[in-house]
Amino acid sequence: MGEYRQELMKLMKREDLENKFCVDCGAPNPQWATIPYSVFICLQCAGLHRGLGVHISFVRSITMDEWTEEQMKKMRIGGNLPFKTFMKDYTPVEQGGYREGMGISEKYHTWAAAQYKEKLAAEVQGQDWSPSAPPANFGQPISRPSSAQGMRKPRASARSNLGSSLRNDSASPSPDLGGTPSSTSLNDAAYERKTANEAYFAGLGEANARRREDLPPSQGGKYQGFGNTPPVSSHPSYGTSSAAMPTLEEIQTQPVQALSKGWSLLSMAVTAASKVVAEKAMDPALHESVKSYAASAGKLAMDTGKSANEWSKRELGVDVADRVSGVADKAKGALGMSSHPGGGYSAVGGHGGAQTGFGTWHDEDDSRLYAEGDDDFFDRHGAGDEAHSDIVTPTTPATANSNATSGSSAPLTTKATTKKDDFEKDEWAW
Amino acid sequence: MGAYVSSLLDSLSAFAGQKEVRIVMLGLDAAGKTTIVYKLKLGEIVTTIPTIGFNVETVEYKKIQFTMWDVGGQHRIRPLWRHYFQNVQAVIYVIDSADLERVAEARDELNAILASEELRGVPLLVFANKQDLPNAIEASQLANRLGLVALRDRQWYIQACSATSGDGLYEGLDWMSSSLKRRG
Repeated sequence: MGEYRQELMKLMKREDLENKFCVDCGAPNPQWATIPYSVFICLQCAGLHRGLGVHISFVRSITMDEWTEEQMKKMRIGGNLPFKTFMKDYTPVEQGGYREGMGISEKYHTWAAAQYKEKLAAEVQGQDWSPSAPPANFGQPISRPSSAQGMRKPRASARSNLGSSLRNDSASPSPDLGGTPSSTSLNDAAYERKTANEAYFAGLGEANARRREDLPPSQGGKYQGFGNTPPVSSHPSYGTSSAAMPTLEEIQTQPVQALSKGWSLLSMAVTAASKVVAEKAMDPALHESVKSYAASAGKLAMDTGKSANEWSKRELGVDVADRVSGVADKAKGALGMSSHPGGGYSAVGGHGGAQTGFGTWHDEDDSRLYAEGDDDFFDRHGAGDEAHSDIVTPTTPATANSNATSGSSAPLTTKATTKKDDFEKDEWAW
Repeated sequence: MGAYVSSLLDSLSAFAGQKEVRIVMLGLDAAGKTTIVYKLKLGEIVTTIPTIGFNVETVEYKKIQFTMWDVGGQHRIRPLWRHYFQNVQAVIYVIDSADLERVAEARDELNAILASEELRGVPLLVFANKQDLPNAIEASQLANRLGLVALRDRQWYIQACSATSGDGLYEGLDWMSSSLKRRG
């Protein structure tokens, strides 16, 4: 494994082939390649190439992929300069040639690019190749269903749209920390997006349901699915199934029996309340009744933190009374309303805090990730290049709220934050 | 205390009708994992770059909150996949249906994943992605070539989809949510 790495590294540094700069955008030290054209490209352009489909471009990472002899053969006879020259010299330009300023998709869909691909393939096979004119229908867009035309937007701007839901984790005070991100701290923008998303996908689903089943999706047919559903065997780790829990109806009609079914009904009701609260829109009219409910619930939370009460007052301004406070009252009566350790609002904040760990590295040049386990590459490649001399630390996912997150995400969160170590410790079989 | 609160909360959220599900998304490089995650999250196509590491996003659907861990698929970072297996309730495996040359590789990686003890009995959703491409093979054919039909003791489902158009994605989540409800 990795037998070709040294060779690829040498190829990468061939200045005579202009391999030291991305063939598409000119970025320095490209770490990726697209095999059919035998050219080196940068991470950003690699992303665009991958979107073209493997029939146009097949992208490999110099450092993170395993290469085959066939692929290497192509890389040996290619290079950035030969490709550029071929594209520039291709004539007639108006018949599938390349023009300056073409985007990546356009460029690699030209007849010129197709010809170069063909030429390389022939050379690798030791066959003769002669140029051919583009077929009559060339350049016409392949008839893809209109549904396949998606609007692309740069991730950076998409990320900033997420900002509100991404950023509510670290700055807020403790009680609501680590709450379910899109419910507990659901702000208007996030809620609107969720609603818009649901409507959008519901529309897609309806459209899909109307499509013909006897055609493949690429010809306008239905996107189908199938699978198996074996009888559910009760897995030991799923002992606490929802079936074993008292239902809301049971609690409302038969509070005592329902109580005996689950062990801490009160805290359930409280948490259920907050869940409902989190889901529903604000309803100021019910604010007062909810507040009084919250106050009594708040007493329960005394043991675990005074701030919980404040939090409940602050957060509970919503339509909850009709669904849950009645339940809680009944439960209260049934229970004799004793204080319950661990119950109350402060327990709400345990869930899924890890919503936003964004594991891609700050810098697009991934080579430096391998600095630790990959000394020789790093030394040779990065020597004298200041930008290469520091190891980029991954943006640690969810660390901001991990201290407050006692919930189910904790184990994995911990794992994720130590990912850099994994990189170092894992044995990379080159 | 952490574990105690955690299990309590899991029960509670199930009780309240809101469920949280941890999902790991796997698949060969360039299969479309990241594109799917952000399409589900934003309803838009973002221009992705190869994932070196992972992305995490939450997507809510039918009162289930899916926390999706999207892990990079390049060959040499696949050994890191197993670090994300702990406590996942479902696996989404994404395939480039137009990449015929790598179906066998995709099958081998899938088998390796499913052999993991941590994923025993965990439902599997396969997204047969890029169905909008003319040379894509059908989901049923993929199911055979991936060996899905031979799977025992596991709920699985394969769904044709196109991440760029969004078609098929929610159908997949639909199956997953009903599958998870069956499991309780």
